[in-house]
Amino acid sequence: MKKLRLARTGPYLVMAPGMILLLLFSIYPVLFLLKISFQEYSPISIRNPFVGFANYTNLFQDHNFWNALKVTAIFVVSTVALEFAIGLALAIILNRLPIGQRLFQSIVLLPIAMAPTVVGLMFRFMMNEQYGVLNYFMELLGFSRQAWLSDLHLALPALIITDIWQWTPFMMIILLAGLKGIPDEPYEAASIDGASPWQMFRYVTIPQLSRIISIALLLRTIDAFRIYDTIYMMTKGGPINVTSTLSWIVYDQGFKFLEFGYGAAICVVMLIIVVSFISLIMKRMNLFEAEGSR
Amino acid sequence: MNRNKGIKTSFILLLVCLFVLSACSSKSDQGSASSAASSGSASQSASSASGANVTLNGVFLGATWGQATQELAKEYEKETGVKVNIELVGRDVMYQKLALAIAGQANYDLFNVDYNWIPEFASTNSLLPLDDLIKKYNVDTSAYLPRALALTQWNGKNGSFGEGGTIYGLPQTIHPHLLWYRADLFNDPKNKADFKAKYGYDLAPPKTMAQFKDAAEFFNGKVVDGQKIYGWAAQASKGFGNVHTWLSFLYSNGADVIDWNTMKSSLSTPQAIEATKTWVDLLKYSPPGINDYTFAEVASDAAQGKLAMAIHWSWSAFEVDDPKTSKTVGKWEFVQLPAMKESVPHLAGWSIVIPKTSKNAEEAFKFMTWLENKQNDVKQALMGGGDPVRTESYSDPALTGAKIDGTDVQRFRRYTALSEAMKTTKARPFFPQEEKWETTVSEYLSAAQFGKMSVEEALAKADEAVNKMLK
Repeated sequence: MKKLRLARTGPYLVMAPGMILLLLFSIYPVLFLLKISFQEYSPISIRNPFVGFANYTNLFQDHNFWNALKVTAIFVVSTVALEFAIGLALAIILNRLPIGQRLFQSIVLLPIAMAPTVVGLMFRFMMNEQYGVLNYFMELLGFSRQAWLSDLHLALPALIITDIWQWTPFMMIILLAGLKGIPDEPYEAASIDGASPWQMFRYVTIPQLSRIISIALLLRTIDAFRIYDTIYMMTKGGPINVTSTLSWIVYDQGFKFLEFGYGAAICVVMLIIVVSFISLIMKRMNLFEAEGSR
Repeated sequence: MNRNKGIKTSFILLLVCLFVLSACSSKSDQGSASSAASSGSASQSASSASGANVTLNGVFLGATWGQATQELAKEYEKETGVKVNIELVGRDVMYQKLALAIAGQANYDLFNVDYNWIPEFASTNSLLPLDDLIKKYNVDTSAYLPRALALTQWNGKNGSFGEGGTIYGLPQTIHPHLLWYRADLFNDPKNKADFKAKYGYDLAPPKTMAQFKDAAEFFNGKVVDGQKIYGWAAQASKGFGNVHTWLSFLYSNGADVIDWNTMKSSLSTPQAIEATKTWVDLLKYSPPGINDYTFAEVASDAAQGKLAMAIHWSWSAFEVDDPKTSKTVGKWEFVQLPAMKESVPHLAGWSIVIPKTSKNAEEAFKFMTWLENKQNDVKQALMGGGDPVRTESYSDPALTGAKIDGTDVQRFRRYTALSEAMKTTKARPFFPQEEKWETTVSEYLSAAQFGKMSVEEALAKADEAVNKMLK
């Protein structure tokens, strides 16, 4: 009985110190943030009055907010979907490579090791209309030069390409770990039953990977939602506001205009959106778990 | 089993909440952390302020004048024994540091500030007024260029640039817009003949905006030394660049951005519309991608010989005269901006202020006055720091006689035009919400540049947004 109790409580006891520290260092800023979202708050103001829901009502009337929400949604959906598709394809190829897996892995992982600001600067140079290497190759191939970062229709795709370049390897490595964990037996059974490669992929690989896929999507979505550094280095939210994401307008409000209260309100809305998404993924994960235990 | 799942799910959701919110609030957290961390050293400095071993902490822009300050601080320590730590940061970080340092009473004594922040921080009682110290140490403020000193003054009234008021800092460098032109191209006999044949008058540095347009059109697309050149360039990116260039056009056409009596945005006046249309129209003679041009691209194109003209800051001229990086050393000349109704260039400049939270205010003031004395104003210019702020520096033989290394070309040949520009130049709107104003207007100007809105529509929408902001 005692052993059983220890087995149940043991993991929580081991995690407790870390969790307590995390809560201590996180809980205050979180509560502070929630509080100032109801204030007209500036760090240099003599008084920071409570304004009720004014920050939130102003937010929903602010066209910049709705634009940023739209840009963020396009960015998150495009990057996460493409990174997943390319990452999965790479992981499958890499998993089947007879030799050179480690070398290939090391090379492919390089972008993750780079700071987003460095990546942003690098792509800014590469996509420079006059001096950039990208336009050099475009011309070599007979295409005209493009204003990648100052064209209204190309700036957001340019950011999406940059993010895909940096973060696809992350998706790939998680999915590769998942692939390596799938036992051979289900494939052997499927093979005996005469399943085609596509059927094996659809009915064996994907279900076996489902939890890993959920985790990968979860992590990348949260991260893509917060994109800031790359935008700062590449487009600064422009041209006009076609690359202004929610994080970008939080920065503008908080650190350019010192309107911390309004910025905090945007953060809270961001949180609600992300948490809703997480709940959805978690629900799916629970479903998979339930299916698995059946 | 289901209950366990529920607990697990809630627990993970809580963690995710904390991560996301922590990310949102990390800066404010940092602020309080840094202030907490620094409060210990603040009291230490306070106690040492009365003693011999004072240490000053300053934050300066990571530009050439910030680097010069770092060097000169070493000399100051040798002379006085006062150690001055100078931290160099970018403009955005500087603004954040200043705000958070004031909020957290951190241990900083000096800040290099873009002048448009002075009304904002002075209005919240965050900067130390210097009038008493100026009197105590008998500092002659009349030695400074009047418009340079005016950048540090605030009388509490919106739009009061040049009207005097409490002095909150000392100017460190100024750089009004000048018209840069390639003298070798303008003096070329063939160009002169072709220009006269096409436009019916002599090719010369443009004095009016109509002449500027002709010259831009004339040179745009020509091939010089095997490379295609463009008529002109200036900062045009969204952010601050486009507002800065546009202001020179606006001011030169007799317009102002705000009616300071009623505090209503005045961007839809006929003068403002005409100035904006002129500027937007002229962009067609600029390099492709001009709408993304920041300070760096303009200077780089000028140095690489891709431009015939530029409207750019005076101080940046050092970049085209650097033999290591420029293909156009000694080829650029500088004159006053072409006039629409008159020539009123937009003025940029950086000043030095003392936050009210400084524990060594008097020592900081002494360093500041030493840094901006006659000798060091010249020295900073010679070190490549920035354009001087004292009137007498502009006739100092050390500067007027200086030559570009290995050439016979005057290094500071821009000073004649610069001194003239400093008689008419005008600052950005002088009021506490300037930073937000600039960001707001920048977006609508950008829409007009890209043709997403007509100039009239963009300015009307900007008026609406600014008026909402001013409420």
